[in-house]
Amino acid sequence: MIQNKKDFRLGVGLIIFCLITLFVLIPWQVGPLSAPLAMQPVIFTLILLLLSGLLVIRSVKNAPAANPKEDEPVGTRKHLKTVCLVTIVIIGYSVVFEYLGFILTSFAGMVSLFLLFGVRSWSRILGITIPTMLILYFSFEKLLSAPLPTGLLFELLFDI
Amino acid sequence: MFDWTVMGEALSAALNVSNLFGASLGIFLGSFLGAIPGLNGAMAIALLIPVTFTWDPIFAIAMLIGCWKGSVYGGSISAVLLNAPGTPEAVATTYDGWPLAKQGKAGKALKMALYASVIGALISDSLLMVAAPPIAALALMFGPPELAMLIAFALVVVAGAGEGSHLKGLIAAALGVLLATVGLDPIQGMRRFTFDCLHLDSGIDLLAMVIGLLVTSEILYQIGQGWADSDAGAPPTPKTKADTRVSMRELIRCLPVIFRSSLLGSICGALPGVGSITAAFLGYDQAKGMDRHPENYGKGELKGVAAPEAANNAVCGAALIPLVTLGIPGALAVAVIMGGFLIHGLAPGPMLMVEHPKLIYALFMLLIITDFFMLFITRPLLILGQWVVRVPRIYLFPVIITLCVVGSFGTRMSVFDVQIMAAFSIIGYLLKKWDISPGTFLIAFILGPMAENYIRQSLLISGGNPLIFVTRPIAAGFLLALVAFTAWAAFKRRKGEKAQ
Repeated sequence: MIQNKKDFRLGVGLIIFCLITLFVLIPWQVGPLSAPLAMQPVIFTLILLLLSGLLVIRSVKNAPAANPKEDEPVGTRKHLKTVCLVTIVIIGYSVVFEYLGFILTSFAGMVSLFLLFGVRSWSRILGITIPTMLILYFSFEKLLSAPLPTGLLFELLFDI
Repeated sequence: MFDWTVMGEALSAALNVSNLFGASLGIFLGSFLGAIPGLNGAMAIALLIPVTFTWDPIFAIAMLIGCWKGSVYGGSISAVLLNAPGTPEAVATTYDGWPLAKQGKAGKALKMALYASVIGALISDSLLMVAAPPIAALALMFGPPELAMLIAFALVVVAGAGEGSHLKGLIAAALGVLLATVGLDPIQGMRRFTFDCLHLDSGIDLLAMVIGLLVTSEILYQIGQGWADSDAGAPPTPKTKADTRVSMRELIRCLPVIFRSSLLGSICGALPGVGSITAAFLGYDQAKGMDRHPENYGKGELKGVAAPEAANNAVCGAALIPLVTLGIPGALAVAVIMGGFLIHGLAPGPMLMVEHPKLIYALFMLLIITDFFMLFITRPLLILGQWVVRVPRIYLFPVIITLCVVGSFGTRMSVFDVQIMAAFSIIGYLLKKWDISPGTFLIAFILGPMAENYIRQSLLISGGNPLIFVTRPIAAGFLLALVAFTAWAAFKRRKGEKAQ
C-alpha cells in the first residue's frame, strides 16, 4: 500500500515530466541529447528523474512525517474556490492589461478582488482602489518615467 | 591593503544625504511591511525592486538591504503585540514577547527587540566589512572548476538546510536549474526551450518570476489556508510608564546574551542556506541554556526577546558575504537582493569588489551608519504598530496584487513579464502545496546559468575530461564536502526516522 499518496502523486508526475522533457522537449527544443548544448538540461533532467524515483519509493515505504505546519489553519473547499477565482483574476489581468490599459484593468481587477474577498462596502472598495491607482499611476508615469499601458481600446476610441 | 582614496570616496558616497535617505527609507518600509503578518522580507524587497530600477545603484541597493533589515525587526512588532510573527524569523520572539505583552509590557519588549536588533546588525555589518575583502581576494584565485564545484556544494547545502525534506529540497534545486536553461545558451548563443517565442530569448525575467513566486503565490497560499479570514484581535495596553521603557540596568543584564546571539547569527548568516529562522532559534536556545534561571523563559523573560532578535538581525549583514564575494545567494531574501544588483548591471561575485570597490564599500558603510538610524527610524512604528499589525488582509491583498502586476510590467515595459508573473504565481502556489521550497527553487534558478558556464568552461579547459573536477585540489575539496554533507543529511534523516 502507498503510505504517502501526496508524495506518490508528485513523484509520478515528476517522472512523467522528466520523460517528456528527455524524449520530446529536449530533442525538439534543444537538439540531440549528446550535443553540448543539451548537456545541462539532460544532466538535470536525469538528476530530477532519479530524485523523483526516490520520492516514489519513499512514499510507498514511509508514512508522511509529522506536519511541521500543523499549527496552520486548514483551508476549506470555499477557500480553494477563492484561490481558483483569484488565480483567474490574475491571469485575466495579465492578458487584458495590454488591450484595456492600466486604468480599466486595474480598476476591474481590484474591485473584483475585493468582492471575492467578501468586502461589500463600496465606500471602502472605492476608497482603497482609487487612491491606490492614482499613487501607482503617478509613481510610475511621473516619478519613474515608466509609462503604463493606456490600452489599445482607449487609443482607438480617443485616437491617441 | 585598503585603497584609502577609494575608502574616502566610498565614505563620501555613504554620507551622501540621498543615499542615507534611501537606506533609512528602506528600513522604515521594511519595518512597516514586516510588521504585517503574512508579508516577509523577501516579499517586501520583491515589491520594492521595480520602483528602484531607474535609481542610482547605491541608493537603490542600500534601500533594498535596509528593507530586509527593517522587515526582520518589523516581524517582532506583531510577534510581541499579537503573538502572530510578522515574519518567520520572529517566531522565537513570540515565546517571551507575547507573555510580556500580556503583562502590559509590550513597549518594553519592543524596545528591547529594537536595541538587540541594532546591536546584532552592527556586529554583523562590521564582520561583513572585515571579512568580505579577504574572501573576495581568495575567490579571485578560483578557476571555473573550483567555482563550478562551489556552486554545486552551495546548491546541495541550500537544498538540505531549508525547510522540509532534503529530497524535496534537491528536487526544488534540480527544477530551478532546469528552468534556468530556458533562453539563449550562454556559450553558443543557441535557443533552448523558447518555443519560438522571442520574449524567452533572454530567458525568464528574474524579477517577474520573483514577484510571482514569492508574493502573489504566497497570497494564493494564504487564501487557500483560510488566513485571509483570520485577522488579529486587540493588543493589550501597558499598565505603567515603566512598562514601556528598557532601563539601563535591564539593557546591561541582556548585553552578554545579545553579543553571543549576534555572533551566532553572524555565523549562521555567512553559511549558505542556514538563514535567520535557524539563527533566531539557536540564539534563543543558547540564551535559555546558559541562563541560571531557564525556568523564566517562556513566561516573559526580557533576554528571551533580546536573544532571537539579535540573532536574526545579525544574519542580514553576514548573509551578504557569500553574495558579494562569491556571487552565491545563501538565503531567499539575498537571492532577491541579488536581483536588485543584476537589474543595475552589477554581477555579484569576486570581480564586483575589483570593478566597483567604491560602491561596495559605500554600501558597507551605509549599512553600519543606518544601523544607528534604525533606533530613530523605527520609533514611529512602535506607536503606529498597534494599527499596522491589524490591517486586515482582505484590504491588503488586492492592493499587493495590483502592485505586483504593475511592478512586473514596470521593469521592462513588457506585458509578457506580467504573464510570467501570473504563471509563477500558480507554480509557486503548487510548490508550496507540495512542500517544495520556492526559495531553493529560486536560488537554483539564479545559480543554474553560472554553474553551466563554469562546468562547460572547465570541460573546454580539460578537453572534455570530467576528471578536472577531481584532480584540482580545491574543486575536489568542495566535491568532498558536498558528498560529506549529503551523507550527513541522510544519516540525520535515518536517525530521525528511527527515533520516531
